[in-house]
Parts: sequence; structure tokens; C-alpha cells
Amino acid sequence: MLETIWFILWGLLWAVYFMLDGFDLGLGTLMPFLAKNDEDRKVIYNSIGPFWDGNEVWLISAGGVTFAAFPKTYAVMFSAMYSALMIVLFALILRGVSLEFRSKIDHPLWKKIWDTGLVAGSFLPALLLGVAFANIFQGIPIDGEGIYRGNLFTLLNPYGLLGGAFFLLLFLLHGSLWLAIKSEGELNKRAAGLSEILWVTLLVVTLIFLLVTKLLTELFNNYIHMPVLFIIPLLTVTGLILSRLFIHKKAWWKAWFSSCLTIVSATFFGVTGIYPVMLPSSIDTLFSLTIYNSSSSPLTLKIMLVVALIFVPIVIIYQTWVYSLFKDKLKEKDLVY
Amino acid sequence: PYIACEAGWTLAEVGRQPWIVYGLMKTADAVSPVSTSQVLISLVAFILVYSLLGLAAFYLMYINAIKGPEPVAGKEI
Repeated sequence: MLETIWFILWGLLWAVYFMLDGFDLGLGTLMPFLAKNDEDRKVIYNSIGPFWDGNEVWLISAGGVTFAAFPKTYAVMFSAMYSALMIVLFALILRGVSLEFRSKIDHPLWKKIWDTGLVAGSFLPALLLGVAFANIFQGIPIDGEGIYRGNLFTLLNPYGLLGGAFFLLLFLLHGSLWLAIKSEGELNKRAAGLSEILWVTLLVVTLIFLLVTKLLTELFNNYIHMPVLFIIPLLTVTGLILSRLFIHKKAWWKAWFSSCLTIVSATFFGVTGIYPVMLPSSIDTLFSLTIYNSSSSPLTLKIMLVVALIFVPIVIIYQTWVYSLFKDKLKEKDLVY
Repeated sequence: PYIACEAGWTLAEVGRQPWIVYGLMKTADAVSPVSTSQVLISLVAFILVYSLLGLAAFYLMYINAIKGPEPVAGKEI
């Protein structure tokens, strides 16, 4: 029971992380395609600036919960995906520093260096987190000792890369919609146009991903056993359709919120699909890590639950406050980054 | 102060060896099953990334220190 509660919370933390950091990873990746001059770039930096730090906090909490609630899964997962996660780590460090350092010196070479850092630091985590999760859905070669019998390139298999592309596109659309919210004029038009193109691409990749997932993974088994769960992927599709509708109406906040729905329900689609396994082994299902064989003691889980139920709402409150402070379109005087 | 911080940590970590949990578990027993090459590459990368970031940070602090504080507009205190 406690393990299941924590599994759901774990999924929730990942869902909120992807919903929040998705737009700044996506927008950072899109910068070379959207920005034509320095003013455009400044607007993009300022769209991401006040938010990226708080958004990334949810990644830390998701990783932290993996460690605290399911330590064996944490150990095996992070050792198995060591190289990929190290790349993600360095990319995120680079992204954060680029955002903060870029505006400090008014020299083109300085700005160019950090612009490259922002793009690389946004693209790599978006892609690699998708690769990681696709591999979690599919299963990785873990033996009976919990030792991973593969390397970085084992993770970069076709399904892994498809998952990477799926996550990337989710974030790219999310990012361009965010820019449409925050920007005006020419930049806004470009964001709007790009959103339409991205939406179509995302639709195609989503359908391919769902189909291949059915063929290559066990993900749909829980849904077939308990058909009421199909409401989750239905919500994903609803979010996709609604976001297209609102893009057409140029209602950017509504489009972005629809995109949030798509991302959160897509995450839960995956998480509900793997339950109660957390890290399937492709060598033998006996070696898979489940919420039952990898969790902490019930006392630990109980204490953590009380703490989480107090503090997570506090975090949500102050982050909502930040978002409401910075909800308006960016004007000349707002460009502090 | 920098040196004091680093020295404190070094003392704690080196003094703790060969235990990672004093009296209960040796550091060698706590090693994760990650290949040596992966760990080596990530160690080198860490050193490189942090050095470069440290240089950039110090450079920024240096040029701002040279500039001096901005003049305060308004009444004299």
C-alpha cells in the first residue's frame, strides 16, 4: 500500500517536472530557430530566466524520491544509466550557467559561447531523459546481481531514440507555446507558426510511439487488465487536440495548459503502464526491480509521506507565486537577463 | 575561508578511510558496479567543467571588482 502511494507520488513528481522544465528545455533548444537578432535572444532568455531553477527542483525531488523510497531501483538505475545521466548532469549545469552568465559582459563572443551552452544544455537533457524513460518502459539488461550488462549505446537503441524524439517534441511544442505567451510582434508570430508545425510532427511521432510501444513493450498490459485506465492516454490525446484548437484561436495560455495536460497524462500513461515494476530486466523478469523488492522500510516510507504531504504543497504555493509574478508579456524594461 | 572549508572536508573524508560508514562498511565494499572507464571519463569531465566555470566566475568577479561600486544617486547619508 505504502509502496503504491510512493510509486504514484514518484510518477507525479516526474509528471510535474516534465510539465515545468519541458518548456524551458524546449525553448532553449528552439532558440537558434526562433531568434533572428539579439533582442529576440534576450526575450527568450527572459522567458526562461525566472523559472528554470524552480522547475529543475522537481527533477531533484524526483531523483531524491527514487533514492529515498526505492533505493535499490535508484542504485541499479543510476549505475546502469551512468554515462547518459552524467551527460544530462553536465548539460543541465551548462544550461544554468549559460542563463546566468550570458548577460554579464556585452561582447558578441561571450554571448555566443553561452548561447551555444543554452542550446546544448537544453537539447541533451530533453533527448536523453526521453531515451532513459523509453528504456525503462522496454527493459534493460540487468542480471540477478543488479548489474547492468550493457553500456551507453545499449540505451541508444531505436525504441530508446524514438522515446527521446517523443519527449523532445513534447518539450519543443511546450516551449514554443510558452514563447507565444511571453513575446510580442515578429517573435510571437514565429513562435505561433513553429507551434503549428511542431504540433503536426508531435502528432505523428505520438502515434508511432504508441504503436511501437504496443509492439515492443508490456506497457499496455495493465490497461487491458483494467480498461478504466485507458482514460489516461485518452487525456493525452484530449490535451493534444485541445492544444491544436487553442493554437488556431491564438489563445496561448490555454494552448500551453493543454500542452501541460498532454505531458502530465503522457507521463502517467508510462508510469501506470510499468506498475508495479520500476526497472524491468530484459534478461529475465525475475531480475526486474519492482516497488516491492526495491523499496525502503515501511517506517521510512511513512515518515517520508508525512513530510512530503506538508512540504510539497508549500513548494507548489511559492512556485505558483513566481509564475503569477511573471505572467505578463515581456516588455523592453523587463529584459534583465 | 576557502582554504579552511576545503581543509575541513579533506580532513573528514581522509580521516574516515578506509571506512565509508565508520566501523560498519569499508569504502571498497560500497563501490557501484560502474566501469572504470566511465568513472574516469566523468571524473576528468568534472574537473574540466568546474575549472572552466570557476575561471569564468572569477573572471566576472574580477572585472566587476575593477569597475568598483556604482555611484549612489540621491541624498548623502
